[in-house]
Amino acid sequence: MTDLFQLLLAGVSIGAVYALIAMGFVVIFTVSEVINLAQGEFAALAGLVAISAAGSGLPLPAAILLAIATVVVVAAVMQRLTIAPVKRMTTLISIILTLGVSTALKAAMLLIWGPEGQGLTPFPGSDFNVFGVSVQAQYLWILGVTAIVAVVVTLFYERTLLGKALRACAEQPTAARLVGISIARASLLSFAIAGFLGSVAGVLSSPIYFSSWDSGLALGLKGFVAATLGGLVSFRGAILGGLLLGVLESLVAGYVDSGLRDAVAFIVLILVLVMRPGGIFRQHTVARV
Amino acid sequence: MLEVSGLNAGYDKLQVLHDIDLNIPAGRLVAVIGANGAGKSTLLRALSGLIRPTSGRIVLDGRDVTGLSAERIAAAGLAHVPENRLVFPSLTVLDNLALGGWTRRRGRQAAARREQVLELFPRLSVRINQPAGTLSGGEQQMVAIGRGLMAEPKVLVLDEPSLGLAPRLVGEIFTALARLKADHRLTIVLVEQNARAAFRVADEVVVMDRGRVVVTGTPETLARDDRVQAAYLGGGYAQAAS
Amino acid sequence: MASRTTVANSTNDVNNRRRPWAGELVSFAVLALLLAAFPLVAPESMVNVGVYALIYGLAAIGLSLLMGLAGQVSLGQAAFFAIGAYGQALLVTRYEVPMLVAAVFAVLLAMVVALLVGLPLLRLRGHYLALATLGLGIIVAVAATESDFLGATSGLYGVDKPAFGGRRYDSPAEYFWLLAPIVFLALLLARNIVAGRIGRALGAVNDSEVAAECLGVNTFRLRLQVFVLSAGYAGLAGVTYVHWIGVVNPNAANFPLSVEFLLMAVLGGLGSVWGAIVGAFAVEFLDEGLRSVIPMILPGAIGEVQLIGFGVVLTVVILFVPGGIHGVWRRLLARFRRPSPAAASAPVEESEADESPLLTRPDRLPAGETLLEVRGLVRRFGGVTAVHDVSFEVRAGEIFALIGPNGAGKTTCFNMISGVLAPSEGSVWLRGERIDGRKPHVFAAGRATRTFQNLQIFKSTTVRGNVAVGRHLRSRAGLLRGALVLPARAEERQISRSVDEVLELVGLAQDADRLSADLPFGRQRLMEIARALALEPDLLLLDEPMAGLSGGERRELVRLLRRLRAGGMTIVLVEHDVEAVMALADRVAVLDDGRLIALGTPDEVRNDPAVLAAYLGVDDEDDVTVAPAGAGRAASEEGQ
Repeated sequence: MTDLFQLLLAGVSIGAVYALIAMGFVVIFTVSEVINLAQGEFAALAGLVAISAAGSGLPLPAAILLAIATVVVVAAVMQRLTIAPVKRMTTLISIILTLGVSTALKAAMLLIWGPEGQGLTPFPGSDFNVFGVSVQAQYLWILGVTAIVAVVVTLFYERTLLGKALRACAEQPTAARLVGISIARASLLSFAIAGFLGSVAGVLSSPIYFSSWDSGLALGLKGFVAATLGGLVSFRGAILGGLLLGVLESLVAGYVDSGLRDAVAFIVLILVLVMRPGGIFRQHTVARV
Repeated sequence: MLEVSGLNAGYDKLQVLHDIDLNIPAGRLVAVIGANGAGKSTLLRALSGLIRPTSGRIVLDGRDVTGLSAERIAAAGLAHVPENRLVFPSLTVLDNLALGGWTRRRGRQAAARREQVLELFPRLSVRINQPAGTLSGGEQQMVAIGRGLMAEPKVLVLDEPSLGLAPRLVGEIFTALARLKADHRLTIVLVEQNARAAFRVADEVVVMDRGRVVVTGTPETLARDDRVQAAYLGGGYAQAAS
Repeated sequence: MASRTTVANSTNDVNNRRRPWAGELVSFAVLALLLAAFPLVAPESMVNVGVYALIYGLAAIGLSLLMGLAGQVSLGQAAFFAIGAYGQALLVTRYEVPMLVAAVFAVLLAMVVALLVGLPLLRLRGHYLALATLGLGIIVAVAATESDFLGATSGLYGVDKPAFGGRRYDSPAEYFWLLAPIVFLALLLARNIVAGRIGRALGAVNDSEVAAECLGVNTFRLRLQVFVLSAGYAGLAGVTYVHWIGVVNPNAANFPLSVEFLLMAVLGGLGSVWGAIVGAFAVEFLDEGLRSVIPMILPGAIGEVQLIGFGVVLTVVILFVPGGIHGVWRRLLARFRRPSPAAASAPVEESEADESPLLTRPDRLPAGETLLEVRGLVRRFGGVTAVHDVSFEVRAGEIFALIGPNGAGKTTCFNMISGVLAPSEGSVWLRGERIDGRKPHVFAAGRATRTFQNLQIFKSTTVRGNVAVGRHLRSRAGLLRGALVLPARAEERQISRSVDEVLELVGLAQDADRLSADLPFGRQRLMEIARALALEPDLLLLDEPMAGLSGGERRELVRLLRRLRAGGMTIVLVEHDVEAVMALADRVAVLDDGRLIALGTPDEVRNDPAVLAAYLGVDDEDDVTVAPAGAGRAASEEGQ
């Protein structure tokens, strides 16, 4: 029983990281129908920047802020340089473009930080035991910050006029332009938000799961699977999808074979697409972000 | 208020509009009619910047807006109420109206404008917090027009507001347009398939056929014109004219 | 409703049938020569790189087919490559299966896995296949690492270099010469598929999926076939790989290799199969160069440093030269070629009053029997009901018209009948068989097709190319027959003859070789009709065929439709031109606000008060009345 709780805790914590990345996919996809394959790299980059910044003597909060700011800028520059210039975006072109950026980012990280994975200093707090379940402070940081970020982003989309303008672009781009909303700016903003979400995921996860030049690949894929579970257009779906995937992975790794951890995402993806291509929580569409 | 001269436009290689000249004085309601494929919607899309003209000039209230993006033209004071309404379905009526005023100052003026819209379309008041996608077609049309009005436009252009609506609602909407013209001296360009309804409210009617303006005149004179009947009944003006 | 899964326009140039086969023959001959000469002139280290270029190039050809034809992309081409390599190594080392037999099974294994992955995914938008194949790559690597049977992290080794007739192919030059004919053959097969019936159909899908489906193209099935084939190419690459280096380990399924394959295909030009090989050489030399240059600039850089170049080149190519090397090459060629004079379209000549029957077919339903039946059709969009309980039947051999004001639901009815939309309620029956909710290609297989109000032309090909897609169901060459050029040749000639006949019929013969996008609007409409007629349908649905046609063209079309009816074809048309409808149709149905308000002969409908009120907007006042029959007016125009 203790084992189960331990696994569930670990699953929810990694699941929260997937949820943040999944939200990043949703933010960009709803506005510009682009699946941003560099979403995982945003997380890896944030982790590595924070590690270097902290290693060079910056206090941890400053290092984290610097990492987040760096990734938001990188995401915005990516949109300006590669997404904005394309006149007629097709699925194929969007995949190849974002793959190109993701590959270049990976390689740049490899050149700067080398091939070895590293972990950020854990956030403050001491680990403790509850009924035999050992709880790392970092788990609580992950869950707490993810919850706050998820609520803030959801409120932004549901309560502010700017957020509603982004939804308007996603739902009726033509009408959005006719009321004077610039789709180009909306796309830029969505990339910046996605960069923010990815970087938060990166710095939160780094102390436990490490960051390396290629850790974005699996993170990105799993974030995508989580987003797909939620139908690709819903934040609530993406968050639930992330948590579900994290728990499932953790249970499979704990009870079946730890080597199969990475296979879970793929199998879940195939099963969902075969049975419910609209996501498993179908009632949540764009209609309720 | 709106001057169009020598306008050519189309999609890719396909030219739809040929040398369109229009001069619409302030405070007038001009109806554009013509058969399917005559280029009426394309004309509106060119006016509002959804497609870029290949040549010609569009002047809005003395300002040359030719070639500007749709966002800029909206900010310059031309509101386009698109075909099929295109409301933002998941957003409430209130939010749809608020986004209509995206290019204008928010705050008290916006609230006042909203009151005007709700006064014009009282049935929206009861639906104000409902997602626009759950409204009936007629109500959605009212939201779309209201959204356009929230930008305090100098010119309001509407693409087939009667499309697919029950006759009673068509009447309501056209009454509202007539009021907008009379009470607010709004300049209105109306593309309509329902020529009969358009004739009742228009000061001037423009007949299009195959991408050209073939005749303009008052509704009274054009209603008696055989060729005009053919133009909107579908035979094509040019065919009837010969 | 254009599909978003379209490819860059350059892709479909492949299907542009204006290009003579002779020009391509030269390219292939040059390529063959280059391949043969390469090991003679290049130093051994370069030949070694060339061997990898050929091996990886095979996988890239497959990917190029997938992207160019199916408009989909695989980010896990390395997974199939690894499956082929592991399969071969296993069979050869563990079970001592002869090399060639083993190769067949190894390639088949890759194809079976692709079939299983593709079945659920290829119905969906392109993102899913891309991400799922990316996941597949991870899975294959995990499976190989975890399995002792597959040698875990060290993999399988001890695969010999191939030997035939006592000769061992163990130097780079010899292996190159062994591979070159295989690659060349693989290229030729791929090229034939692109240029043949399958390539034409999938090229059409990339322009307009709905139109291609309505002509009988089963998009899903063809995409699946191409995906499986592309995995086969990757599997073959894996086989040739493992025989060259003798080992295979989990790295073979790695993501960087998939990116490398993708880069080769993109750099070569999406959908250009020989471009993929050129791309493979370019990428391999780039790879070599970067691996040696980067550590010089950045001492201590280790690992997959070449990826920085891959990422940058991939992005830059897609942004600035989306046609890749193939596209650049074509533009260079075009500069040297004289521009062909644009054929001015001659005005339609009014033929004499030929009323003889057209396109008769022996086993059609006897005239008067029910061919199409629509029962209680309802369609809702969100909260709005566009079509409300519509029922009617269409009898064989009649012209049946559907009229009504804009927004009355006519096109929605057409969409439900032809399978483009599934009805919310109700059923559609064709020859007594229920077909609602099935795909448009099922409708087409029942010898029924349609045209579109908002034209759905295949704009990257010629008029002839458009109409040839209409022959899709009347021809049979599949992937295999299409790949082997000879049996498909006769069929292609047959298609070409039928296309000419149909073009003659609608008066488009002189426009046959023009790019369809360059045609005036009215001609494009006629071309759509010709395309539909090429299917030899029993039931033809025309959505506003008169819109955009000139007076002369209208009269020609009316005459054509009459002759088709005389030949036994059943025609249903949605039309705004009331007078044309009244003069042509046997029966008329009137829709208003989604409801059927009248059904009868033109005379009955013309005098129906409900129709007058709804369609013409006449109510209390009556200054706008139904115009008298248009025949008189039309006649007066002939005097011009």
